[in-house]
Amino acid sequence: MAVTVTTGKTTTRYSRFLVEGNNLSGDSRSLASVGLAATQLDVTGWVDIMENLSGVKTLNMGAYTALFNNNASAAGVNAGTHTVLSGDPSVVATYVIGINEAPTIGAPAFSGTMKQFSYTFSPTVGAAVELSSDLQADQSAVAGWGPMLAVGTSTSISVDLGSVDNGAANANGYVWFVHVQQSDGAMGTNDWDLVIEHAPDDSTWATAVSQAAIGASVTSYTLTLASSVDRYTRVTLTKNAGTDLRVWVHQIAL
Amino acid sequence: MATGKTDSRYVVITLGGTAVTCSVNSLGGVGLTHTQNDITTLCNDIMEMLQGVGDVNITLSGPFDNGTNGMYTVARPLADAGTLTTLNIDIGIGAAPTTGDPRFALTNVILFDYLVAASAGSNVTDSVTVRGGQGVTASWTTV
Repeated sequence: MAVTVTTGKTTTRYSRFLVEGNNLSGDSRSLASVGLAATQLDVTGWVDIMENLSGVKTLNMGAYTALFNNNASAAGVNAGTHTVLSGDPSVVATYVIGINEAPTIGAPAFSGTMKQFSYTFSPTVGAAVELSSDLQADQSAVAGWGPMLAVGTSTSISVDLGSVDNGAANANGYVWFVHVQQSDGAMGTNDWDLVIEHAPDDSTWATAVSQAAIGASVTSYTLTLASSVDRYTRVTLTKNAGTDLRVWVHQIAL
Repeated sequence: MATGKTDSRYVVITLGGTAVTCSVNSLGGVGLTHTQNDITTLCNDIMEMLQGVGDVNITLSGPFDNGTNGMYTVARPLADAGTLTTLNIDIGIGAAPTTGDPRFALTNVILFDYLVAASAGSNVTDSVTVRGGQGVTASWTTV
């Protein structure tokens, strides 16, 4: 059944930041600007008021500051910011906005395929060590806003998650950003199947895209269906072997 | 029609026909500015200017809100699509805006840079910039 999406204003304590499957929320301090900016093209002629066209968009997830943390992933322990970000990686990054509660299915989020262009830290006497990272669009970047279909809740059994009502079918399809987070138990034996399903009526479900054999490692990737997708979408998780699974899935329209 | 001074809580912002006032706590640059074209010559004792092309550059910002009248729901899709839209800023005089009260009315404006900011210990906030699109009109009128 379609979830009732929580709406309203919120504070940052309910935000989450996922990078390559790693939940960095516990180390995060600020994200200065998240979204798509567009160049402003001046097309003013001999007229009274300046006229603009929207030009090429730039992907913003820059000016990220966080506490320095070099934890490694382990059962129930997320990798820290230094472990994830040192080395200027190409990453899938997702910023999730919980609305006055920890994020639930339907929560708004922004994702992008990013490249880190700078990673610095400047220790200050009497203060915790903080780092700064600048994430910009990677080659052939994909990015946008949309609802979450899965929000990292640990499950040790197969489950069909709540569906999201997208309002109407989408003829152009979607991209789904998937983060497989460190699970509470040991990951090595995990073998789960992730399926994103769609339905015109919130009950007649069919497979949109799928990914088999997930959960054995912390990772992220995108799944794309660039053709018509029905109005309702949801995530199903099927356990073949292992302990538990934590997965985040963010949906953006093409 | 009342006249006189007023408080900002009586300002109503309507974007694309939807009131977004309750998701905005800061409104910057309402009005029309013009470039200043310097026509001063060597024989002038005082600089002389001609009023040049007009410009609209308004920033709406406030707490992030994904409700029906929130900027995430109303402004973000317009910014993503680069769709021309309208913006009315009504100024109620000591009360909610009513007939005859001042209105800054814009048509064919375009939204840029819907961006969200998050800082530890603070509200999540968002902002969007409104500029003139092709065929923009801007005028002080009344509700």
